[in-house]
Amino acid sequence: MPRSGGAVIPMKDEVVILAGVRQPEKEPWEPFAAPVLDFLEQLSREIRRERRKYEQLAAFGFWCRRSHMEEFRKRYEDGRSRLGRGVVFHITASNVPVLFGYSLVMGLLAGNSCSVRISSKSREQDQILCRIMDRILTRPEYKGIRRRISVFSCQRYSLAVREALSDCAGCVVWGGDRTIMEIRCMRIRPDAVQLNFPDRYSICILDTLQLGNITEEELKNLAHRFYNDTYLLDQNACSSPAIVIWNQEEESKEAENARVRWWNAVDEEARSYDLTAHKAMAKYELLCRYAMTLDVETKISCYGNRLYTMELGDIPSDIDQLRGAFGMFFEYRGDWRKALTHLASGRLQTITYHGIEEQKIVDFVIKNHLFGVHRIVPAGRAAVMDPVWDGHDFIAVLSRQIGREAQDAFV
Amino acid sequence: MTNLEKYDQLFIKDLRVKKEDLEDLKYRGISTWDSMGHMDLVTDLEEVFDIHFNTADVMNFSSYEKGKEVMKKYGVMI
Amino acid sequence: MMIGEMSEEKGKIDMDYEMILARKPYSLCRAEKRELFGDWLTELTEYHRQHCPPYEKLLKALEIPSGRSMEEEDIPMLPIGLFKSMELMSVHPGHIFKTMTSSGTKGQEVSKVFLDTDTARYQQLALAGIGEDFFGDQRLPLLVIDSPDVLKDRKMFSARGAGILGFSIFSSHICYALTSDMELDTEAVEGFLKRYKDTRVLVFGFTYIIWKYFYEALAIQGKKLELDNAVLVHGGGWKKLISQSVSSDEFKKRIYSVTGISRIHNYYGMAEQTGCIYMECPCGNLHASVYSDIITRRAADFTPCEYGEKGIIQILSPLPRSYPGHSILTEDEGIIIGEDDCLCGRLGKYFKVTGRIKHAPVRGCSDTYEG
Repeated sequence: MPRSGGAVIPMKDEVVILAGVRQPEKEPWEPFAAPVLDFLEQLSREIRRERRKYEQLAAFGFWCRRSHMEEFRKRYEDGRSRLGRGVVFHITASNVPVLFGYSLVMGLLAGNSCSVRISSKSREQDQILCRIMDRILTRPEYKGIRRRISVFSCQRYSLAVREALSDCAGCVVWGGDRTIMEIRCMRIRPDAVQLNFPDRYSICILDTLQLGNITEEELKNLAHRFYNDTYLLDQNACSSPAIVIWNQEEESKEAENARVRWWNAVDEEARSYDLTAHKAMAKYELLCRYAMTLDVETKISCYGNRLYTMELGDIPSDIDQLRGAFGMFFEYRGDWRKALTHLASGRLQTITYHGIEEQKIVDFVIKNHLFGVHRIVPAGRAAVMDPVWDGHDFIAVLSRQIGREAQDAFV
Repeated sequence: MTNLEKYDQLFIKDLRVKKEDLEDLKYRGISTWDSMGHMDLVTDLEEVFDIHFNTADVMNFSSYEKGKEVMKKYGVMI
Repeated sequence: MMIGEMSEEKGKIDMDYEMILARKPYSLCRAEKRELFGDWLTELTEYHRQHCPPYEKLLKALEIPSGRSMEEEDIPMLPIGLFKSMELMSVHPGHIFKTMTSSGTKGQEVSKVFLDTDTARYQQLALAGIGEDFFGDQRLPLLVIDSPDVLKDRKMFSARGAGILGFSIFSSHICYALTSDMELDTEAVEGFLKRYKDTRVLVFGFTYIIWKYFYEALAIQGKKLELDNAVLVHGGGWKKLISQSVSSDEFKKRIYSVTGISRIHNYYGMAEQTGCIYMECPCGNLHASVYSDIITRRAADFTPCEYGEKGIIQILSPLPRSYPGHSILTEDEGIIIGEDDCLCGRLGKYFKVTGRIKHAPVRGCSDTYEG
């Protein structure tokens, strides 16, 4: 196996197995099967033992702890009869640490065998996760589950990808759009299901006066969670808000103070952000370009280079194209309903909120027949992975439900 | 062991603090109660008391005292 | 504004240009330069505000008021990447005389810099002034280490072409050392050497091209040229050579071994501010001339660095009038060593370039299905 500085780089058409087996078995299992939950429990424990300093890996380990997986299981105890589909093939973006882990877990929980292709340029945390998984899987008590997992790396257009794709009962592809379109052009079984996660963007709605009234401590915690939603993934994750909607009827000194207080708190949290020269440059360029090209008036506020905000005087014609990065936020003041009507193209994924009733947002989306808004969660939870993600139910799509008149009609 | 003793012990073990410091302990108030320490603490509390916090409560668990209220919600009286 | 006032205004600015272009390039001390550049760049910022609508929008968003006099450090900076994604000009498109592009690698977006006759002339004069300081006012025979094809399109040309053209103008005879296929034109070079055997000559080219198509070709052929009387000037960045682990010293040593040239000057400069290049003096330092200045800035908040502290390089020059490129934040990092006190005797800031900003991997879920 060719190695270069610790990272394994496959040659053309070569496949490097990072965890599990080369060819996973095809047999479908029932969702939330005991061996799967046992394996995830062990995985969670072992990640906890050696994950110091790896924030995303630690969060993944915490996420797949037994009690949390059991909670997912309970959600699907609805008397319906489900079984997995076979082998589900996953292709994940390499610049979200341990994303492949979440995708794999969803496939396993739904009752499938999983093969996962990860980039040979995968990051340190991905490599560690593979190592821990493989170590567990080689133990005799995990022999059964080992046959159902294959994590490998190979070149982008290698034979292995085409084969895995043409054989699988389902595939899960994590964006960008270009990747998804490329994969869609490849050969795939007619009955295979596809879950695609294309480019998305997200927003945050904050109620100005409500935010002005929370205690210093609450403010600090909320700002910290907002930091986790955004800076932790360089504000480049689909779920990271790019725009903050300040819900307020009219402008007042009080409202202005509330906003300033909020950004100061975010700036304080952003002190722990690793702002490299490259990020600072890229962010400044983004800021200047938007200021020079948007068709509305803008006002920039800079908190050092850690935090930039750009106030929008009005709703620009292409508001759904705005993207932040590395801690750069657009701000709009006014009624959230008015803003949302313009913002909710199909690409709008997550609304995080504070001081607004969740149900009101849901009702508004439904009543107005909006294309976008696939998730609504409190501020601070933008990145928490759930079986229902981006408008899809992983478990429902990746398993098949055995239709039975008696149960389905009357449960 | 009483629930309080179990509760305290997990704080002492996971956050590496002394018993006398427990009262005023707040999330992110000390270096060991960071996001890592928090995850350890929550995982252990769930295991020892056989409960599962929902995500909102993982976040609501913001101090030693506040934690007691959260535990109560899951039927554990500290 | 009345027409009379306007021409008076323009007249004053023109005078400034003639005045500065008539000066020796390393003759302004710190206090004089600060005053001159503060005033001039403030004025120029106003000029671009009035003539380049996107630039005006940026200043408005940044809430930079009109009519406030600024120090050099306060002049707003445009990130260099904007010249790639936008077409920025402060003159009517009909007055564009030349469009210059940066020498990007294949497939990369290139910068587009729009020059009118005035700006092109200022930049040409600045380069000539700097050249004169280093090589004297005699026009020297020039050996260009490149292919004549680079200059084919005169309307739209690259930084490589601009460099060659800039140096050509104050040279007496030009010879291209490479063929259209980028191969060493042995016949032409030998003819040049024979003709100017005992004269001082200038050799000019881009660092990487000199290395790859000149040095390596000579080394492989085991050839040594008699260029002991030559001065070599090269620029365009070390990026490609650093990846091949060729240092500045190594470069000089190797070039000497195949040509006998001992006077070798690197320079720092870019398409977005041509003309006012930063030449390396015999002490090995790059020098800011009276035509431009340099500030290094901290990544954390863009505050200016101390001397000796590494930072992102900002370049300032009053020469760009036809496009708002008078204050540019580059993607290079460097260290300003001092001002007015280099041992070579030149006034102005002197510095070193440490390289391009390192591109750290960025997180997020955009397209990254990589190999």
